[in-house]
Amino acid sequence: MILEAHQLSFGYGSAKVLEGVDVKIGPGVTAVIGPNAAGKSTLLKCLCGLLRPQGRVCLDGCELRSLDSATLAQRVSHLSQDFSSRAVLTVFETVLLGRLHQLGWRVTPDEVRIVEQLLDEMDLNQLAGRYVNELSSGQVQMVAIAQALAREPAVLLMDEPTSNLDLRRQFEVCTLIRKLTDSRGISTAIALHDLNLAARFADTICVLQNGRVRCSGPPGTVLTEAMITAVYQVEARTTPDEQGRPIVTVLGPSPAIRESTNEQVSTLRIKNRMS
Amino acid sequence: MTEPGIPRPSVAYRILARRRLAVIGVVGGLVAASLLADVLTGPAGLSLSEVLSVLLDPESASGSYRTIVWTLRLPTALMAVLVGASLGVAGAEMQTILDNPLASPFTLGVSAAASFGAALVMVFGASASAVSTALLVPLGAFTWAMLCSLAIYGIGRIRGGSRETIIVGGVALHFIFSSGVAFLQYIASEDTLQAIVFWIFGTLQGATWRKLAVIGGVLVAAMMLLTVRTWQLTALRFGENHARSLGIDVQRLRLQTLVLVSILTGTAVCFTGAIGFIGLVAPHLARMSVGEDQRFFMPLSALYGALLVSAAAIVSKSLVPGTIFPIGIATAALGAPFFASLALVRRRTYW
Repeated sequence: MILEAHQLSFGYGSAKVLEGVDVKIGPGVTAVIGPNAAGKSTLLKCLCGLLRPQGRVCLDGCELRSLDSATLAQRVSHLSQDFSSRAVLTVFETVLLGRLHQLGWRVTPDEVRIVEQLLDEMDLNQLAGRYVNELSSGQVQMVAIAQALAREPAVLLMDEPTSNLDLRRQFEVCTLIRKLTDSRGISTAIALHDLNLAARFADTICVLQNGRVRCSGPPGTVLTEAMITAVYQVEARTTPDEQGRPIVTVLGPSPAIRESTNEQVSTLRIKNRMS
Repeated sequence: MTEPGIPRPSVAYRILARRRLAVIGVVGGLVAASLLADVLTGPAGLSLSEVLSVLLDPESASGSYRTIVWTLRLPTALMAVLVGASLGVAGAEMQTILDNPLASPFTLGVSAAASFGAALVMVFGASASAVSTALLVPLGAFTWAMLCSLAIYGIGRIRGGSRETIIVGGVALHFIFSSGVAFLQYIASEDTLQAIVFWIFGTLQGATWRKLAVIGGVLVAAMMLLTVRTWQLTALRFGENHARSLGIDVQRLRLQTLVLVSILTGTAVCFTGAIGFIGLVAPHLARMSVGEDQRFFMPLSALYGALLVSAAAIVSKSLVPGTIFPIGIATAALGAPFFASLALVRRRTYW
């Protein structure tokens, strides 16, 4: 399924967070990147119906507003950043709750099998009987991802799923998301900070800046040195890897930023001297 | 992929479910035993075989025995069980929807409002006959408990049903109604004052089969309505925003549950007065035994609540032979140290 947004605008009170955003999620993996407060999380929340923006969001041409919340939650799975792990529930139960809308009073063998397969796939079955409130934050994150996948959605929206994970787990999670996106034929959007993960695992990169889409397209055309400097205010080098995908090396703050910082420091010195 | 000796996750899940059912069975058995012990205890000194024969074959029993067991002891003992179960369920769901381990019918002012309603009738309805007072006091208590919940509901609606506003509103209402009760005590006559104080202590005396039918009916209806929402309530424990991501209308679920729980609490306390601590302790015990899957958590909270009040009823009868100690004092005196020791000895974090 393809999730498309036309002219999305959203604000919290008078503060505009998104302005006139056009974006298409799918087929494949779309990475949403951009600096802090660019509107990445807000965009994902608008795309799954958690927020009601101006403009239109359509799932295969069908407006999101016309779907009831259970159907919507089944088709579009959103993994938020605020998963609370204080529940006295085991990992198995937590992942099972991803199937909330299918569960009856008796949990059927089918549901149990889906959860078990997923735990196998994610190499989490040693943790299955542990309580989530006793896990590390990285483990909790893996469990939350497993729960999002247990919903068997058509569209998967993940808000910084790698934020608490070590390097190996980041890589594994992205590999898994890539694999599942391809094998299940779903559309996935991931908000990411790591440009190299985005370059390596995404088909499309969408760059947000100040609530607008600055550019979007395949990693090779989007991740340019000029774009990175303009959006992140850092100096960067990009070198293509053997498959032609860019590898980004950040060198430091861009010269313009350095100068302005130096200027601030010297004005401060002058002020201090004067007082 | 699993190491040998460790069962597959699906098998482990089934074993866990069976173990939890066993815990519910054991606690249910303890409630039954406590109920029987409660019927056995009393100044008349009936033996186990006498009580059993009256229970199983009331027709052939002597008139006085039948009155003692069927009119006095059994309704009171069942009242303890039903009120305990109601308060246990109410506490469990309040803690769930408000995401707060200290939430209970007491914390949110529902009990204080019931006391206020009862005291109001006692002070200003003194001219009414004894029969109508017996009817009006529970009615006043229930009405004010519901008004209090409506106020909490209203506060919640205005501010979008967040857990903080509901708790802040509940605590404020608790203090408002407590000061109202204090004021009524201040202006009450000496006899009325005594009646108010005894009502606030809480008592199981005066239980009738009709009252039992009301409490039992409300308890069953509330538990059935909560059962429909069992998975949603469980998923609420992942946090409000995450639950919304899962497609749950959190605000509606929270407010509907709050109303259900208020009716449950209002019905329980309007006949017995303020019995404290059960709504707080029972859910914690249940959480420690079976976790927070509501299919096990809710019924077990009810059973633990029933067990605690029933045990407290036995203690309140046997503490001073020949007199009945107010049950509210017994539950708090037993419950508070027990609750504190739970917090001190636990190995795992349960909240």
